[in-house]
Amino acid sequence: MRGMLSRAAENIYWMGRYVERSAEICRMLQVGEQLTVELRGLSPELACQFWRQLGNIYPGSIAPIVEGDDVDEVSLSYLWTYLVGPGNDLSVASSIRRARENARAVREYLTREVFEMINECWLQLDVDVRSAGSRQSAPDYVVSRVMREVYGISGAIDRAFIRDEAWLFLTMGMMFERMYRGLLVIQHRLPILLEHPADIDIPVHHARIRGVLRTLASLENYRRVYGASLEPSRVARFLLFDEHTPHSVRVCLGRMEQAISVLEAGTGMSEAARLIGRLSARLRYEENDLMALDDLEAVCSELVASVTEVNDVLSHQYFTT
Amino acid sequence: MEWHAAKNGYDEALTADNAPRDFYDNIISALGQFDGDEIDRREQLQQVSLVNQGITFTVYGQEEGVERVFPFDFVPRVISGSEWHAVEAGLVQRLETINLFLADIYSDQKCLRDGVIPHDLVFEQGDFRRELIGTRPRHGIYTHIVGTDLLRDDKGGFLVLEDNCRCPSGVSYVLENRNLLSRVFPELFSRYGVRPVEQYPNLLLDTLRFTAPRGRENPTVAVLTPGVYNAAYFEHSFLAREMGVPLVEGRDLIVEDDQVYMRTTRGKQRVDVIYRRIDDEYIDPVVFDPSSMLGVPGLIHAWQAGNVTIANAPGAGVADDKAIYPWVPDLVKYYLDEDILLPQIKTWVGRRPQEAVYIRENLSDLVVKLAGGAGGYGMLVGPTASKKEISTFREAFDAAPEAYIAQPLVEFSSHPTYVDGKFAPRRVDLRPFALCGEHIRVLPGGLTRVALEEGSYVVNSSQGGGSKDTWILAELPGESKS
Repeated sequence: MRGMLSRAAENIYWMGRYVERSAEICRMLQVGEQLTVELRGLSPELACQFWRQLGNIYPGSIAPIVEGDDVDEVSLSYLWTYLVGPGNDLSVASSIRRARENARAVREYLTREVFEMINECWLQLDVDVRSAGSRQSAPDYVVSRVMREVYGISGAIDRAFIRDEAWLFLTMGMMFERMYRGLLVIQHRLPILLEHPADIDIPVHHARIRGVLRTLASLENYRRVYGASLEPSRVARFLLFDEHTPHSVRVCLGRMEQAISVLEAGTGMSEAARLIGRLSARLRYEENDLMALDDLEAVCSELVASVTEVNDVLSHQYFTT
Repeated sequence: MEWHAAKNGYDEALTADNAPRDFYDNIISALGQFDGDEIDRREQLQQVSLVNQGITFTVYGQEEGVERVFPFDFVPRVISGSEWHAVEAGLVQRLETINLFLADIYSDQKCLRDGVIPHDLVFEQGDFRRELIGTRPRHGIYTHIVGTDLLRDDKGGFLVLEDNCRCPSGVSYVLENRNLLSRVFPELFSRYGVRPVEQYPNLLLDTLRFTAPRGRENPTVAVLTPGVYNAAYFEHSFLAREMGVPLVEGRDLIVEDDQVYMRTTRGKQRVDVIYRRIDDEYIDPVVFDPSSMLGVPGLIHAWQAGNVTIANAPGAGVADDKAIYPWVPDLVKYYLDEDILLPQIKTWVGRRPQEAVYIRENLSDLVVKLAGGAGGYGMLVGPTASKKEISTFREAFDAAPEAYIAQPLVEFSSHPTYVDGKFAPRRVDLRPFALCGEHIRVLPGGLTRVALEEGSYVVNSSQGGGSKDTWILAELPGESKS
């Protein structure tokens, strides 16, 4: 495999991350809306908590300032902020805009369809951004539309993109983002659900667990494996260690491992490949040890630190030559 | 819908009594089948298509990086095969001459010693690069890609307005316009044999590979862009994509031991041919503008050492300076011993004191331009300018008369154009593209730019111009129309 321009590799990697991120945020907002509807009458404070935790899952994002616990006001403010929010670098609009900027910088590597779909998605969203003040479009409509468009982009990438080095960097970018954000979701949403207070409200509890699974596009997949039984510890194992569901951390790492092994075929093992390999092996072989620690938050926190290091080493190794 | 010929100048599609000229009857009757709503629907479709495909250029002087669509008019411009033959021959002659001139002034300077062209015109203009004297690029080709701007005069004959020997832009729109028109108005093509343009990227790549340094059998070619905020970035990206070569920025390249490398994920990779779309001034901070962040330190030295080809070669801009233009017919005679095939426009050069006086006294009758300018900036169209504009311009001219040239206003041709729901005559120019590699090849067609404002003479995209698809008809056996 021939080398590609380091700058272009970086642009493609980040294009993948931003495309993936936009889909994740959309899913998160859809789940938030649904949860707000479900919990409004039962436990509005938990609905507000869902929105207020977004800052932990998207560190560096700028949360809206909402006084009080009016669930409708909180949900709408967070929804707009993370959808088109001005100044919020971790919004759907910002992610699509950056995906488009990166795509534009490497257009010669993309098929016409891929660029045009990203471009069209941004052009539509740009209209929404401009009208955000007046909030003319219904946010749920915009979120659903962007989701469909992002799936279309992913489909166009999958069907039309030549499997060369650019594809490998794109895959690594998408997988990294999915894995990193998934870990943050698990870290900040699941541990509290593992506790079993005596007065647990089962419908609310289940709604929250479903929310975690839906956020990571895994609810139906989980049910196919475990049926309707929503056990938080099982959910944690599924999202971290399952070897088939595409949003599990193990699968994402496995795909990164595959990509880097193709990329480095015939050369010595690089530091990035070693790190990814080591992490991937932990997820394959240390599932029980990690779960036995009985501290999901600490496990996730450690994994987040490790994958962050993967990103740094990849950048250093390939993008700053 | 009604079609009306231009009141002033030559109308390319209609005679004075509004009858279609040769080749236009089928286009006019084909468009006549559609009602206004259908035409508007298709025009909207083409607009959406341009936006979605990101076929844009960047506008300077407003918000940074504002992307605009280059307006496209769907009424194609038609040129007969036999007439094109004459244009093609004229362009080949000019390109041969320009390369001989550049080879001469960067070596023996015989044309100066023989008094063919005044010394001061060459030496006192900024585009002549003394640092490059003695450097001979591979095969003696200095300018590989040329876009020559042509106008039709009031009789319909082609005139050369200027050559662009540095980084002529617009060819991507030639290809995209054809693509777009064939999708939005396929009916228009049904009765014409239109020569294709899609081969341009292949021809360009062949040209660039031919000029690679000696011993590089399978050369690595790259397109060098100033970056995504450049006005012509779409074109840079388009050409790299269509040729299947990397699009690099200055920061992607390094020079070591007079070899040029690009930074790749597998370390340094040698680059043999650079199709640069950066002006000389910014290409190498070691030799030219030291503050340039766009260029590559050491690139010129690597080029002088013969280790990399730069297309077009540094210093080629001296040949398209508007002050050199009046001498091109003499250069053709001098180097080729031929009479010039494509006529030119009478030109006064501000660097010559007597001519500067003439320009100053006749500003209201002349088109006055910066000799090294482009894009329609710094230009006065005297006959349409207000007194205040002329007065302001006079101050600029008096401050540096040597920076200007002047020409009479050519009442150049018009072409039917769809504006505000009607077909109306608008002025057009033509920029054909010629490539100089193993052979000189001219792309059949070129970029027709159209002044969309009624009465305007300014066709530049940056100043409200649009573009059209340009059809060169395949010559049929026995064809003799001209």
